[in-house]
Amino acid sequence: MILHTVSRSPFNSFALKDCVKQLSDNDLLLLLNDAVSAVSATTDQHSHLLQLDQSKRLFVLDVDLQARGLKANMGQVVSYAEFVALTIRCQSQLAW
Amino acid sequence: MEKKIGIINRQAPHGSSTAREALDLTLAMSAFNESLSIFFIGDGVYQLLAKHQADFILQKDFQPMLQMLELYDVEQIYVCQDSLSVRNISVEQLVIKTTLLSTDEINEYLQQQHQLMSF
Amino acid sequence: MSDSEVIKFSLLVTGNPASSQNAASALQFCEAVLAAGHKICGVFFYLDGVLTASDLINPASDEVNIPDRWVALATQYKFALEVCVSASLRRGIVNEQEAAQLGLQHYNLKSPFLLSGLGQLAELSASCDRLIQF
Repeated sequence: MILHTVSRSPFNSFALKDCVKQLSDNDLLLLLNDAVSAVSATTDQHSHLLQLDQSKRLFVLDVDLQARGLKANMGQVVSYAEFVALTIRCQSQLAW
Repeated sequence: MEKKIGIINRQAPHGSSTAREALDLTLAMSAFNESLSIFFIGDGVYQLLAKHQADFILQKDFQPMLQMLELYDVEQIYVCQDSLSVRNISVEQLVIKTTLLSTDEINEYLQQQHQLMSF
Repeated sequence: MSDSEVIKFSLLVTGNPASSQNAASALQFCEAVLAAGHKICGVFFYLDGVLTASDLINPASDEVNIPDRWVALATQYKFALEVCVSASLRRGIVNEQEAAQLGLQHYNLKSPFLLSGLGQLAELSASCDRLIQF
């Protein structure tokens, strides 16, 4: 199980698009930094993200949302402490 | 047991130093770890397209260093088939011997790695 | 791994401390690892991340000084801040010994950052339970 972390905006980079393609069935996705806009806006990956959210595999870093004045329309909002726990839950991390 | 490490190359060459420095890292790591797998996906496949003339743009031609992967016994070199085809690149145009994988196969291989580094 | 187990983390930091948030994210992640009672084996700086080790970085007084924060954390929790030597030299990060060897008039490596080879990354990778990249 891999924790994928995406840090670039979906409107400025293919990181999220490429990452979503490489997600295996049990993998988790954590959005941080500029990538957090993906859960407040409607991106090309919207339906894929919804699906991930339904299977409780989509996470968003709380402070990155707050820092940008954004609200999450999907995904579980997590703290850095929970980010650490996610890295322990997964075997490896892949930074996009 | 030695950790299996996957190194993922996603950046085009020359526009930034990332590709070249990722290769430096790969060659150095290979001296300490014999279980490296190298993946080229997305724009990373452009690193492998033969006949770079990087000196024209004041960049270092690192393709001779790619040839050293074999010398350093890094044999698990995987390229994303989809990334190649969308860029109109055929496997004959690549500068080193690689194994072509589908997106799903890459996912399977990534799952097998204990650690991943991504550039 | 169970929740109560102490996990050993190594971090790979590639973000420019002045211009990318990734450098700050790595620091905040590191603080959270330590706050949870886990261990940091070491932090390896690569690509533009090596700029974190410049002693000449001087942000305005109302900005966070990322290098100073790394030094404070590493000193308190006793882990190494390793900086790749080849990535450093090409970005103008030099220690006293390299400056002497290369005939440079100045050096600027911040203490206690260490110029290391990539072998040190291999060591950090081998000794940790989790390698996390920013």
